[in-house]
Amino acid sequence: MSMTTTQAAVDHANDPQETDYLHARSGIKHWLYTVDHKRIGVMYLVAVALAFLLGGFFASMVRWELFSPNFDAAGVAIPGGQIFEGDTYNRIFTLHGLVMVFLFIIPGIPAALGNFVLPLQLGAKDVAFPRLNLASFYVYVIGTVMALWAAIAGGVDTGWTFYTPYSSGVGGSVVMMTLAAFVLGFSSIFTGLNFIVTVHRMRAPGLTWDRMPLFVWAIYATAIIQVMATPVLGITLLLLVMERVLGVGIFDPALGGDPVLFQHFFWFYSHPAVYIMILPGMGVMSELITTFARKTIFGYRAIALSSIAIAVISFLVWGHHMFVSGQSVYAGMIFSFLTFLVAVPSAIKVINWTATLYKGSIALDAPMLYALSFLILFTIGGLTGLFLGTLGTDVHLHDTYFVVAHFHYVMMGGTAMAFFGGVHYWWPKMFGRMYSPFWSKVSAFLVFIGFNVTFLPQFVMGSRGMPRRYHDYLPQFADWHRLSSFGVVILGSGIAIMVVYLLISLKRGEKATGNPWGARSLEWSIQSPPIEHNFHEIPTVVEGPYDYPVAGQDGGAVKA
Amino acid sequence: MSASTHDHESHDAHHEHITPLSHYFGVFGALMVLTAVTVWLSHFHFGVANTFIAMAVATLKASLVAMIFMHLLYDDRLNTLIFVFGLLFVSLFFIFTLADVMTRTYIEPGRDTLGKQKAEIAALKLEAEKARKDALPAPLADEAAVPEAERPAPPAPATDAAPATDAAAPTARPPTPPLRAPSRARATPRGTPPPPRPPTPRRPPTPRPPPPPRRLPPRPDPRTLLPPPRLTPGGASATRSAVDREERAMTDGDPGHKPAAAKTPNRGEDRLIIRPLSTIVFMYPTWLASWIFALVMSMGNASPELPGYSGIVFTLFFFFNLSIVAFDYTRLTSIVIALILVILGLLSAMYPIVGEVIKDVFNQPLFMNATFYWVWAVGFTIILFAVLVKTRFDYWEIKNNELLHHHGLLGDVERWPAPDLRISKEINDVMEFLLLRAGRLVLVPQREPRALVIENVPNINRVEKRMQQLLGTLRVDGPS
Amino acid sequence: MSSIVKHHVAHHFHDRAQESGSAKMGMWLFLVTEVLLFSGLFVAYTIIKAVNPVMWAEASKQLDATLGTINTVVLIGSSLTVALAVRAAQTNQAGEKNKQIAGLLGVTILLAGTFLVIKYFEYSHKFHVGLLPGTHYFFEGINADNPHLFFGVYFLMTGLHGIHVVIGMVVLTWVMIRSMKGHFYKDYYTPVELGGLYWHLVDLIWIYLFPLLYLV
Repeated sequence: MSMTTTQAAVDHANDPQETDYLHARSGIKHWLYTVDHKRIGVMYLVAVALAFLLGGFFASMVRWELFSPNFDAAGVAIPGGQIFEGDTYNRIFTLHGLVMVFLFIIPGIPAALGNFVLPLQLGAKDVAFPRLNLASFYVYVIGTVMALWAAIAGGVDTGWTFYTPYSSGVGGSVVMMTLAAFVLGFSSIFTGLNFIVTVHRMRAPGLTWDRMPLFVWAIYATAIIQVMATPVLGITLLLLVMERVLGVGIFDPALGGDPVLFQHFFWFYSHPAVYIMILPGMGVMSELITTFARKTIFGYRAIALSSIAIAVISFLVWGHHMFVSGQSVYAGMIFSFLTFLVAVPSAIKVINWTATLYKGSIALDAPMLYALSFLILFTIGGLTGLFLGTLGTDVHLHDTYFVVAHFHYVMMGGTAMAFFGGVHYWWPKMFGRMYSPFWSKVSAFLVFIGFNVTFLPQFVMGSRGMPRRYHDYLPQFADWHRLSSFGVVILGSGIAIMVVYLLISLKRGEKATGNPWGARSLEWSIQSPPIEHNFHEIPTVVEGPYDYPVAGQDGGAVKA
Repeated sequence: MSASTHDHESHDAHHEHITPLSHYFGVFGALMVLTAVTVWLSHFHFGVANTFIAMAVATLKASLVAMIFMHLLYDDRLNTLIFVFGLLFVSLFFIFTLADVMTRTYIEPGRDTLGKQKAEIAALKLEAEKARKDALPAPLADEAAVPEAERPAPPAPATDAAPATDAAAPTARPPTPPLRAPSRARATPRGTPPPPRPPTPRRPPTPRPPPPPRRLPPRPDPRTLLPPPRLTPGGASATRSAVDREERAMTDGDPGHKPAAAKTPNRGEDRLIIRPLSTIVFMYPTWLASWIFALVMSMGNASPELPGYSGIVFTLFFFFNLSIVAFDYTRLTSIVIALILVILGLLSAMYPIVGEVIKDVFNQPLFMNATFYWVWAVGFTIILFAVLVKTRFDYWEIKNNELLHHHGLLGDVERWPAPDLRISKEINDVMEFLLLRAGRLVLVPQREPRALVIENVPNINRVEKRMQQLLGTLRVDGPS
Repeated sequence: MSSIVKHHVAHHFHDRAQESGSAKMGMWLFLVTEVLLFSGLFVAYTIIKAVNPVMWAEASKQLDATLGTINTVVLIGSSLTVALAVRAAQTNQAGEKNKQIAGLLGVTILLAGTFLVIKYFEYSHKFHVGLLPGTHYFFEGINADNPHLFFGVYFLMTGLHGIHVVIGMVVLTWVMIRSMKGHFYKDYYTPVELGGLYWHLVDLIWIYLFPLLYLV
């Protein structure tokens, strides 16, 4: 008998536990050589979480330096930094950016959560290329080691963008860091390639495109960007290396080159990369909102297709990073116009999530708290993005704290919140244990409040002219900076609590059932944690992923 | 493929297409020939066109390799899609990067990145600009000369923050030592004491080039802009559909226009004659052009350049017409073609180089003499006349209860009962519709196994409306 | 009949068709990433050429179009042999054509080697006279600004392509060894096919590089 997502699924979920993937083959060697997507996902999760803590550490250092301005009582500036020298400060914020972007956000949701969840949601036994998947993880590790080595041996102070001609001439281990990013790009390409093929060819029977969970749609759109954009980052970084090693001069004005060209190359990857960061977060959101509102998603098709729309449009807007770089005004106008187009699919998603909440029966568990945080913070982040996409406004706001606050609202307030939400949501599935409901809610509140205290003041500072990347500032910004630094303490304590109770839950947490949240997609139809090959028999899917029973029609599933 | 729990053997599940050996060798030969061609062509100097020709040949070679050697032709379509999608993204990369680099000179002519070869063009532009500036009222010109004109805030003393913060810090502070810009080359301080801008090579910090008067993209050579083929009233009436005239004749009650072979009932309103046309009539723009040029060329003492241009225009008309006859311009195709044209237009507006190529192509004069046009005009007219004659002997007649097909010199007639006649109107070719409002009618009479297809029915919409009226009357009358 | 080694479908695939289809789709995606990797260099080429047309015309005369043409022929020839190898694999009923596959791949690798040797002569000549990228440039014969940019682009493009040729040779050697061991038969020849696709891509890129650098 083939299993379906309906009643049979629940039956299976309550079956006596069989040996799960965590215990199937013990020993470190079996972990290191594993081709099981779930184990690779867990290894990624550990690596990504460590990277997040490292990046967070650098961020705290930045805020520590900025806690107070370096002026004496009479208001005269004292040269030198408060805690770090200027050069050290530059290295720290560069590392913060590099670690958070390349080591945390880009692989965060796709490689860690996606690896674990995607095949389960598709009803597949593994991703299409399991060994490539493992290779992707090791490439990631190699890249990380290279990046950390570069950070220790010489340091890099170019910012995560490596703009030429500064980066092609400055000292430090720029070459090593660039190569590290190049290698990390390969890891990203492997993951993306794997997922595209998996989605196309590994779906369970009956799992049509319009029955795919929206998380899968989002990961699929992300994978398209990863495959299409990352190679360009590769060539960009190679050119930068060549620039430094051979003095080729393509980006060097002294040799007749064009430094703005570098920015084109860089942003052709890095703007779509912004959507590599946010799209998976949006996918997680769609899962969380429906599960915890106990309601079919509103506008399934609109959300699914808007993911693809975002993926495609994201390739048309990179020039908005370059409005003041010497790009032609003509191109600036085109890019500004196209930038507004991205707002459309993003807004479609937000509005549909909100509509899903309407009249839902909402359960405020920790994952839902993160989802609601996402909804609020991403909306703020997205709308402030429109200010920056407008040519005239951007000239005033460019390279100020307004930009910093904007992308932190999107990246941290959006993606990181979704990541936390996703981790809390799938934690029982991954490890078969529940975490403390009380502490998880405390932590979610602290993170939300701490985040806003940290970054809201930066909007104010930015609009008043506080430039980014400076290690010191004028006294009139002192209060705002102090408030912002104070926020980091709240945020940090929230995250510390999270780390503690999650680790405790691994040992002492209550055993999780197969479907603790009452969700309907395929991964919840099997035991927690899943067995090594996920499904005894490949399930046949007969209904959509969000067909929750409607109140009043007991047990009656409604077709999407 | 190491760990295997199942041992599926293949059950001939995949049927690979096996390309015949001859195709492989054929493609190889073609690639060799094309390589020779591209090397040979490189010895000629077509200017910018050289690159485009070489790229066209390379693309041809590449598609051969991709389709035959790489099996895309027979493979899963998805793989083709993936590849094409990739190329699409490459083109985005090109278009937008070039959109910046190639237009930098447009708005700030001081920053000419197009290099020396464009000096000539630049000089011309400057001249034009000078002429315009002279024409400007004096104050405007002055303002244009003030550097940083559009920036209201003058460089402020060191402590002066952004204007917004001025109010918050009312006490004027003594100048403090400027803060150190941490990142040496990059930071553009805004709102903080601006240290001198780090000298970036592409934009000198000192007086920005004055904002120039708005410059339009270079206007394409008017010679290259062809008037869209269009109906002139005279021509239209000359070739207007037979149906049209027939109908008018009917409503006017003119009995003289009755087709010879039709056994016509007296009540003209009750019937409709459809005369399908031959495809050749869609070429009437060429026919018109041949007449016009024949006349113009015979008038003599025209400008010496005229023959060259008229040749180009005529040839364009001709090829345009041929393409209409050759292809179905479906809605999708037309949109695609329109898009391509728009993109070409945009490209030529953005990159003078494209415009130049087009100009180069059209600047080759094509000489044809008056006799040529006369021969065309007369010959064409004869053919069109023959077509007109043919429509007298091959036409469809629709009455409210029957459908007749008259054909042959002796007036053969086929007849179908009209009740429950299923009609569908298809406008497959947008161009044909535009030229003669033509389309295709598909009639399926009751109990008739095959559909009757009438191609090239001019004034299709009106015909269809009329048919509905005719057949609609029947329904009012009740079933017969 | 020669002995063959049976291929087992990996556990997570339903059948052989799903497996080979997935592999091929993955390969095409990978080829797309390769195209995009090169696209950066093509964009750089276009822009530098557009900005310095006179220099470009002068500098490209320093390249030897004859050698370039020979290399084009060599590479197209190798593409043909690889295509024939794939065809042999397709019609390889029970492993009887494994020798033929190996032979054709061997010829391909030889042609690839020829390509590299010719490239070596081109390079060493340029090293010798100082037609080098960027700051290393010391040739005196070009009367235009910044000719080193052309050679920067030239070496980057052909260099990256050359690296791909080397990788291709390694991959094809691996496939050749496997076919000599009798790993392929009608229902399993994915490595031959994918290796072939990769090699065709190397050829495709050269088809564009050749006219762009040597001819126009």
